[in-house]
Amino acid sequence: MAAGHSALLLDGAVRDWVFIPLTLAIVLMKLLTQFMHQLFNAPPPNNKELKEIREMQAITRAGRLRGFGRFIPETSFKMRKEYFAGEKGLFSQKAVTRSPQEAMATDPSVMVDMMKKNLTGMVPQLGMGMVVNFFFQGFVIGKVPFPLSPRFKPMLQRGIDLASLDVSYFTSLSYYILLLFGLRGAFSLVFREEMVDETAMMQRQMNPMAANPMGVDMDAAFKQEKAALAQVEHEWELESAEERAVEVLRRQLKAKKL
Amino acid sequence: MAPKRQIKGGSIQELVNPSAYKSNLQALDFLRNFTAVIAGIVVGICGVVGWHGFIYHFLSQLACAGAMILKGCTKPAQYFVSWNTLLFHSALSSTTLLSYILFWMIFYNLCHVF
Repeated sequence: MAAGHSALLLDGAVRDWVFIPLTLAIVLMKLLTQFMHQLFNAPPPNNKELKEIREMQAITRAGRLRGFGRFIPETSFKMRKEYFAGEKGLFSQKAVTRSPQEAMATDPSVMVDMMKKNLTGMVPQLGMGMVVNFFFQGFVIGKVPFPLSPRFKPMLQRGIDLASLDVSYFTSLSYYILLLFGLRGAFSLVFREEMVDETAMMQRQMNPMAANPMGVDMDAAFKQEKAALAQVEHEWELESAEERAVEVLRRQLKAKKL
Repeated sequence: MAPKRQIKGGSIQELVNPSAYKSNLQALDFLRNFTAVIAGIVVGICGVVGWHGFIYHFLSQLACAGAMILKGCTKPAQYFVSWNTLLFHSALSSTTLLSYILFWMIFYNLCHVF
């Protein structure tokens, strides 16, 4: 590098009292949040009534009917379609499920759920960031192994105003953030699951409405299903089965001949 | 990946078993992360400085793919849908890259700066 580059020799005490404890503390904190996440992620309390569950299942069934209707004969398909989308069918009646706004207001368990999600999500990380910033402020803690452009200086050296200090040296706060991101990969080794929950959690924080599990507007869903069912054409697969069998046999014979 | 449906009257496509495919991808992810961490540790202890340290990361990923082919996955098209999934799936993914950088940094600092 340029002539201004001198290798700073950092005191061994910095390593003993800052670097290693900080790493250990962050690793433990991440482990804790992961376990708390697993504990608290029990399925939300199912305080739905029978009617609501029935309606949700009806929508699932209608979707299945649309998708796999070709396995049942024509009359059966028509009967089911009539049950769902006919004049006196299920989807023509008014839905009993409450809209998500009402549900949020009347149900205290939803609040508890959201609070739990918040607690195991960003709060411990932010709190830890503040603790780190308070205790380990004002000195550099390590060196990045590759040279960086000067634009990284305010990012990596938050509290230090030395203009001549090499950009490669970073403070504890930036080390904390690097640890947070880097340990995701290492933790996915340990836990064998999709640990990229953080990005999903951050998105959910921004959009608290979408986080509601019973936030489905049943009336609109009914209308959608009715329209979709009306569009579906039915063709029984058994009719064309003979032709397809001929195709397969022909191909087999050709392959054997070669 | 949902199993591919059959096209009526046309050729019959292959079916993909979704749980097997997913577990294959998970194994690949696991190995890639593992090699990233180990390579980061080794490179950090060796004291490599500079941008060319990243080359070792990509070299180790290639070696990981090579080891997988040697070990059991003789026809990648059978285990993953296309043959280049083995090489390029999460090749530039941020988790592996960041893990590599992090462990490189930690061990470089532990051994060479203090």
